[in-house]
Amino acid sequence: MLSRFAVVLMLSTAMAVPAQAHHLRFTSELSGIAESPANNSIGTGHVVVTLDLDLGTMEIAASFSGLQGAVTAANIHAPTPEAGTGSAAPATTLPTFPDFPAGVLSGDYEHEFDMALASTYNPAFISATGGTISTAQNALIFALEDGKAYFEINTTAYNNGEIRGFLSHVPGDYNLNGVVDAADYVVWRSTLGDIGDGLVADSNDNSIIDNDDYDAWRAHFGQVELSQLGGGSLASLSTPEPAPAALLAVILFPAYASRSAPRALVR
Amino acid sequence: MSRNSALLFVLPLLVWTSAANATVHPYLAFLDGPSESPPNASPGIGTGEFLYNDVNHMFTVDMSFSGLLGTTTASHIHAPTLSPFTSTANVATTTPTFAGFPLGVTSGVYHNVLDLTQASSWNPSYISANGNTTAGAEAAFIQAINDGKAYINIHTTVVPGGEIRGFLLTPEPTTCGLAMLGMAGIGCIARRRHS
Repeated sequence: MLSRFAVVLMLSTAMAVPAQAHHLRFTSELSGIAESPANNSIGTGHVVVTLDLDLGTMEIAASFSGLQGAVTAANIHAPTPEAGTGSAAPATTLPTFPDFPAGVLSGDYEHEFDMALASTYNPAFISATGGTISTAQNALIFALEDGKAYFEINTTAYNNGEIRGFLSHVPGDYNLNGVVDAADYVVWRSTLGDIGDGLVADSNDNSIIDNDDYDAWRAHFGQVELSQLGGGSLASLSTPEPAPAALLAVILFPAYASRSAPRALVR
Repeated sequence: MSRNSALLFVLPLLVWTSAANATVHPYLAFLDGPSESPPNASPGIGTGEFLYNDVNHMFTVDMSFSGLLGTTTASHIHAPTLSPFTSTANVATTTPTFAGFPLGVTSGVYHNVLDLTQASSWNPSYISANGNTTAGAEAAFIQAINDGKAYINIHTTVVPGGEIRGFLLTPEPTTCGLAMLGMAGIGCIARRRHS
């Protein structure tokens, strides 16, 4: 078995131009502060968008809670003129995602979209991006890759959006919480050797969890998704600054948690 | 089609083969944007010729493509689609792309001989989905091709989901001859464009 892996490893490292990953995952933390303009909502949410470029599907998994108003709609908006800031019209199904929980303050959502269907898109998005489903699909993929797409939930309290977050792809973030940290290593280690399409820790998309996926985790250790960086520091995603901060958070968090936990128990 | 006429047709292609009683099955594919799911308006085209030797389990891939809008990021054969000649399927052959496939280009040629008894010729998940053996994968793969449920796809930077594709076809002797003529024509056009 090991020699099989070795062959695959050799093949994948021998290539000059790396093949593009075919399962792209984008995550985002939703908040009122991230809205444009920012609001005081205490609502939060977490979204994972998974593109399968072989099957042409988009899977959306979202959870949200603490909203001030009842949900009226949810959409992915794209493309904003600049990454991580500004507004754009909905790119996805109008008036809201099919079967997205409406009239509630908290909820969960999971849906798989066929990106070859017109119903996956806002008709205006199709016409604005070239007029065909293919051009709309490409535009949505590129907006996601460029950090120019955000997930937004509209409510009765905030018609124009109560919480939102820009979606970003963080290689090595195997538990999809938006930060590459020690917990992602655990995901890699516990699925090492697994075989399948679109496995969460398969960063190079060779359908096996192997040592290359460990290398990807290590290479991106400390990186943070767009929605957790805050408006002004988006350009620093590629610079080393956020890494020490995230490292510090990883180191400090267990200490903080272990101190505060007993107190919470006493209460 | 009669097996004899098929054999006669592919005979020139088999000169290098020494296996006495092997049957070599030829397949063809014509790749373009309108055949994609969803269809696109790419001016790119491509051809694929495939030879499957059912005795030594070699699967020869010969491809040429040109006129792509984006540069290549990956190519594989996908199988099986739910219905013939439509929709999408997961990758059956080597992931993340064919070994040695020209990447970062808008036109090119590709030749490879896949040993279907080797795990490296397959997407690992295709093997595990077909009895966990390369023999199981091979049987399912050839069945999918014969059913019109296997397609070759070229992904590019401009159309990440696939810029051109074509389903593998089992040629009738006459269509096969026509196809070869067509390919020769495309070759001439490509040459003229280059000169």
